[in-house]
Amino acid sequence: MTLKLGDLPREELCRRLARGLTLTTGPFRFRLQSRQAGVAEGLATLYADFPVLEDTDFRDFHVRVDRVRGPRRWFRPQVNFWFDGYAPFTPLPADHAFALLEWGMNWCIASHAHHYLLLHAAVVERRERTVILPGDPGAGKSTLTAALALSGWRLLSDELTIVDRDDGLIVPLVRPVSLKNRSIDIIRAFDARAVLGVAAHDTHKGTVSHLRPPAASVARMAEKGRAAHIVFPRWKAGASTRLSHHSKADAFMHAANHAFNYSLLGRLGFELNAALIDACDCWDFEYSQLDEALGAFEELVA
Amino acid sequence: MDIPAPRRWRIADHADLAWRQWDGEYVFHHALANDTHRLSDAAGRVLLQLARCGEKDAESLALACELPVSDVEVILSEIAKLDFVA
Amino acid sequence: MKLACAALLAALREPAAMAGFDANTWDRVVRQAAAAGVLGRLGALARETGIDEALPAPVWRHMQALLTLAGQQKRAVRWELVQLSRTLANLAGPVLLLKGAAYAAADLPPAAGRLFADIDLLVPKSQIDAAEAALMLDGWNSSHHDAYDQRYYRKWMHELPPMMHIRRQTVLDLHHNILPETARIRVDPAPMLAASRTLPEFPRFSIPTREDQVLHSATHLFHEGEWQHGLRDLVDLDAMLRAYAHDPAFLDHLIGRAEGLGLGRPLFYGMRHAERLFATPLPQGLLDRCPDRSGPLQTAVMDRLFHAAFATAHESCRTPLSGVAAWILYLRSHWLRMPPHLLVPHLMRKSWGRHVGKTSAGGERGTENDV
Repeated sequence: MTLKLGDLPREELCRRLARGLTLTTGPFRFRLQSRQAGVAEGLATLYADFPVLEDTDFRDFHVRVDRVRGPRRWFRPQVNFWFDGYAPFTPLPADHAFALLEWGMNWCIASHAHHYLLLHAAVVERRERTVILPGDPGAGKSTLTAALALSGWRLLSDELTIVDRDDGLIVPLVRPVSLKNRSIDIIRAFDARAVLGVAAHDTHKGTVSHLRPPAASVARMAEKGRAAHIVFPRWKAGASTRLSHHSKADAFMHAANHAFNYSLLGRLGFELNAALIDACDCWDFEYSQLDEALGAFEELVA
Repeated sequence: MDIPAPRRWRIADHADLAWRQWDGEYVFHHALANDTHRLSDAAGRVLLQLARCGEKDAESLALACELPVSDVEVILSEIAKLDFVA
Repeated sequence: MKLACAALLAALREPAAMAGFDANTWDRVVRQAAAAGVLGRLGALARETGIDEALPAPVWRHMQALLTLAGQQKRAVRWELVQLSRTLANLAGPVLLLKGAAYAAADLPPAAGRLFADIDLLVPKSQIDAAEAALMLDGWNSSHHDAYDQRYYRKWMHELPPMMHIRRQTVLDLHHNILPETARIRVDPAPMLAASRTLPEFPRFSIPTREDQVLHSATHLFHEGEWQHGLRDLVDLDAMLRAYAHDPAFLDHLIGRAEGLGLGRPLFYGMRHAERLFATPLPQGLLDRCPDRSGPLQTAVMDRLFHAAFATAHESCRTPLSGVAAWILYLRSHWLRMPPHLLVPHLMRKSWGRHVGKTSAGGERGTENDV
């Protein structure tokens, strides 16, 4: 039986985290180190279903979130994120520690995992059909993704769509869904059973919180998905639910322009992106009612 | 009177182009410059003609693509700026 | 070097050793290699020797990521050379391509899996103004706008402040010598320029002869202050020595050329440390023939300093000496570059900049301050 993070008593979790705790998320193993209570709290709430590994394993990324040295250690304390001893960001207030960890983990993958094509999009799956949701900021992509995850859809990722270069399949990450500002309230209202982490206020993105990924999704983190649809969602007040065709060439360019490493992959990036567009129907999706939106998505994969 | 020979166009040296076409819209990738561009149906067809035929002048291209010569000339000067053709 | 780096060195020396590494070892080696800028090289070596199939999947993925980046840079430099061939078409005299860009453009022994950031060009000093003018006309802007830095570069250094292309964002370093004007060793770049060979694919550009490639790499390594890539630069040197020494006459020419250019000392250090760390197969007695080699006491002192400094790249390799060693060598490199009365004001200004909270440009490890 694999050890899960939720199996660890809180004290044990904190102890391991202070020394270095290894977590698997999709194809990646992170060694996480922190003495911040907020980080332990966030992990306990949101990563309970994730497998914990031994210290003797190979880890892809060694990261640490801790208080900075000097006066800001105690007065209006700040924390920072270190990747193998290197700090790519400027420090943040200590109560943003968990959010900083999440951003840092995304940064690790986006900056290094060039074995894959990394798109900036959410990705979910139902009935063997994987649906990619590229999102412009403010378009409501995260709210939709969270609602889908809470309604029986498998969550693969909320931000980083990972395309395998060898088979073109989508590789799950299944990390918590990041929600901002109003989305947090909408999702709480949508499903009372939704488990959300402690919110971080006044971040550069506003108020930020994370939704615990469904256990069923976490259990299937090793199962890749075959992309069938690319849907550009757009929440618009009062709009009726509408699915219409989106130009494939346009979808190609959008994905390329918003990817983390399309250019880095050169011709391979072009071919991988093209194969994705070849395989998918591309849609514009306008909605204002979450329930109706979910209905439309069900029909898409019927 | 000597009429100067019409300019002959070809795919730029080292360009190494790849492309896809969906519903009359093209995307092209120039491997050496590592540039990706979206081109209209007309521009895409002109570029493909050149890729297949090596070297051609604007008039032969217009004939092969069933487009007005003036359109073809505009297209060629635009895609030349992208280093796709010379 | 400390036991902590033993596996990494073993892998660089003998790629087949990687087949025997366990998960714990890889956990250390991948990070050390990445920090030192040699993970791509390990990947290239693994591929060359067919070991890649035996590597754990996550390890090979990290190597592939770097090989992808290196491949992309190789393509990018070739595109730059296409553009720069037009930009510099009317410039008189040879334009020499150096270090990382040269390795990538000409596919030289150090190129496999190697990352570099800037394109290094060297032109005769008489051409430097014309070259700069032609570049600026074509969209290259000087990156240092601070008057002090501009003066530092133009008056005392062997290169202009880095230039960046406005659209393509590539960075170019224009040199007129391989060592600064103010260096204690006076090197005349003319012989290197004269002996250089044009690149068949890009006739506007030349690369140094094999001997000069080795000498330039050794001189750069042992005179520079930035040790983050010390190990990587030594790996370059080892790669060249191994490949070029297949030609029996090469090493003789190398010694002779070092004597002629007055670069015996850096060559001595280069060969000595490559042999010690990577077991570069050099004939018995070769080092003794090196002109201007250091005496036994100085050699021992420099050994300790260089050794410790090579290990600065990653936390796990650092010894208590490493930080101090790197600092001493940083001072030494500045000492070698500038006479004392110029040195102190300059160094003080640089550390003031650090305190005032100027951050470095961030970005990925392995590409900062790279050549």
